Amino acid sequence: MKTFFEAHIWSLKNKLYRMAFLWVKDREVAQDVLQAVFEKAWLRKDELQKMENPTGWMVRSLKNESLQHFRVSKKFDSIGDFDFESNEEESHDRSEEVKMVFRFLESLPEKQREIFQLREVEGLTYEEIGEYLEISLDQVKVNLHRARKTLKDYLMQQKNGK
Amino acid sequence: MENRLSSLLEKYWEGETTLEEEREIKNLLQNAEGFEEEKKFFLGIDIVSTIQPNEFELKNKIKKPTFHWLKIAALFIIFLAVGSILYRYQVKKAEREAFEQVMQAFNLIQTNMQKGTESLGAMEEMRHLNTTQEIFNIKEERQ
Repeated sequence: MKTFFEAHIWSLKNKLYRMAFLWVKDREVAQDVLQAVFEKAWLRKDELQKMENPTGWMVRSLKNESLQHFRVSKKFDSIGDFDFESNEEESHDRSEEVKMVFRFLESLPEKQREIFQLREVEGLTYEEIGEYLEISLDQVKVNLHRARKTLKDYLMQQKNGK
Repeated sequence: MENRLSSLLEKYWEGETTLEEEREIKNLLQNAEGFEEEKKFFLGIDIVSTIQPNEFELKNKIKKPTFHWLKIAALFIIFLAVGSILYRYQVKKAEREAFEQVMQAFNLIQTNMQKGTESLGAMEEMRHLNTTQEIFNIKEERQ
């Protein structure tokens, strides 16, 4: 039988890694950030079990850890200022299609970017997104709607740019 | 098919599609003509969604069993030490008891020896007499 940590925390590993990767745009850094968050979570596993929304805590912790990484490296003031082009390592991540996704995400405000990412990349329901980001259902819907409007314009610009 | 795709995309831009409809859009796009930018974008999303972290173990979690084994080792050493002390105590106790028993036996022998020696004191007077006849004047009685 799985423990609470295995069932509810460890199972978030892949999703949280992709979230971190889309924030920091570097696999190695994302891996370090993820590991640091899970180390903290393990130490606080009893506390997490009593929390109403441990997933929200994990996402918040991941975001803080990513920001901490930027503060320590002193290269960037915020996640949004990251230079994607100079931080690609894996050829897989360098494909035109992935670059297109990253460029679009860069153009979105932070909240819209997070919601769009959780919906499109992770396939989460509105309720799950609300739980992940600790926001209301209305906020999820409004921000996702805005992000998709922006995507429509973005794809139109790409088409016309050819 | 293209009508279905177009109407689903319209719903999608408005943020009104369900997760199932969004999956349908991706499936329809694979075989649809045109929609090049949409195809490219959703392919990028698909690639990103397959990215996974390298396997890793939690350092704190690994340390715990080590600590656990250390505790077992410490307990084992404590048991060994206590066992050794108890064993030595038992051996010394047995030695002391044996010593006391021997001493008691010697005391008994000594007491009995003393009693024996004291009873021989009465005979001390007679030790100058040469024979039994002298002691009991056997000759005179015969006469």
